[in-house]
Amino acid sequence: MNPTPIEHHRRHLAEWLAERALDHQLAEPPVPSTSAPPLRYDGAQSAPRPGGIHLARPSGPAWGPVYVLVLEIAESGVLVVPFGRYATPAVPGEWHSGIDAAPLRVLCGWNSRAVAAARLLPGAVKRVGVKALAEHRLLCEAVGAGVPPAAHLAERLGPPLVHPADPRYAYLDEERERLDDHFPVVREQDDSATPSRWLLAAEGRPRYGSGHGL
Amino acid sequence: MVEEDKNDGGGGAMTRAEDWRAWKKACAADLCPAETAASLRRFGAVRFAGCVRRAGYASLTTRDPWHLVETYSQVNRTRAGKRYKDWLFARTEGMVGDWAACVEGGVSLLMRSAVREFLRCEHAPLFMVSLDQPIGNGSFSLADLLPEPADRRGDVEDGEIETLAARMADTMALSLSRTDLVLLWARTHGISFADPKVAKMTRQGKTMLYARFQEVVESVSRTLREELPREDAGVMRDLLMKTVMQLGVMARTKLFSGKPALSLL
Repeated sequence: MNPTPIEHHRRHLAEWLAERALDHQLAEPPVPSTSAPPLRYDGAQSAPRPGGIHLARPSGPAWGPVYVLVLEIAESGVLVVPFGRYATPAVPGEWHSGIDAAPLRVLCGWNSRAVAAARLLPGAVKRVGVKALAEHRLLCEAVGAGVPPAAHLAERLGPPLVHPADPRYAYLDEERERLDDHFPVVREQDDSATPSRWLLAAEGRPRYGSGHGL
Repeated sequence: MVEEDKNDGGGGAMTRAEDWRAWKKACAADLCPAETAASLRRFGAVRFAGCVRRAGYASLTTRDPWHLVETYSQVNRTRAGKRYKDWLFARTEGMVGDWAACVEGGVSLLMRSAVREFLRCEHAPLFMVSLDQPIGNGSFSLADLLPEPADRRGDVEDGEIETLAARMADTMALSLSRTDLVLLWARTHGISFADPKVAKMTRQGKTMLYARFQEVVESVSRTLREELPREDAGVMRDLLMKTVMQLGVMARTKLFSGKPALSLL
């Protein structure tokens, strides 16, 4: 008998939580570093193209490699969606990439952004096909808008995030910080109480009061 | 003292710069000069041992830990698929100190991920979490985080739960601090605890805020259970979420009433 959707989500969330707990156990205490973050960026590199998977230039000693998929080249920069660190999508804003390689299994649409090409290491590590790229674009758009994608794509998304004290919120902040460190965002002075679009995208809700979860 | 202990927590590099340069040119340690391959394998074994010890599996071994980190990190078998080596070398740009130690630091990060994956695949029982087992340090379980849709009603109508949630929130709001109100507002309105607005309003870091919010939600849950000790678990889960939502709406009013300049959604 096939599992019900909620059983399916619970199994994936259990796997994700266990992997997350393991990750915390494996973390070494931070060691004071005598090194400065690498900030040299040479201009000589091949231009990224849609469908290419690139490594971000390293940012300080704390983070492991960050892989991103180039969705398109826009005026504002290279629109990329980062790959996550774990084997299972954590939230409705993440999905299975369909790629077997361990560092490339999950895409985090909620954390997508336009970046400067100079922030990527030259040369793609791999390319995804035209059909796969089109699916990732559809998923990224759906996640950004907070609308459900087509059913066959929705199966790839992570489990719902509905409980106010869910530990995945801390993970989302950590992932946001990881990407911000690699691709600094210019923040405008903002005293308004508007919600963070990225957090709503991660939760899978378009805006407050939509009836989704909380 | 065993070798792994000597090399935890810093100190000099175990490897030489030329080992890493030879390895970058070659496809894998297997194709490097024997001395280099031995040096990398020794380093891999020490880092692997450190990782499994931290995870509580001190006696766990694998035939070739260095091979583990290489196979985990490569995206495919082509040269392009091994560009993580470029990342390792780029990571040393601008760094001061022992160059080989900088590379080792990067490989240690890769080893951590490789060991996590190794344990994930080899120790599946780790990933069996029972439905009602509390998760982490909190008091909520998988069944709380992802409630069964059918559970959420029982014999009680949605409207009844809404009314009850509003009544309970009215009472509970009286005992909440300003920090609690900010956290309830933020969580129910899609605003991260790491948001500078939240930091400014609470004057606390996000680690403290996460801990405090867990206490607030657990306190709401406890109060609800005390008030309705015989109620069905599914109804209680729904009631908790609706009560927190009500508290979030009340918090927004308390925090921002009389400030029309604030754009609230």
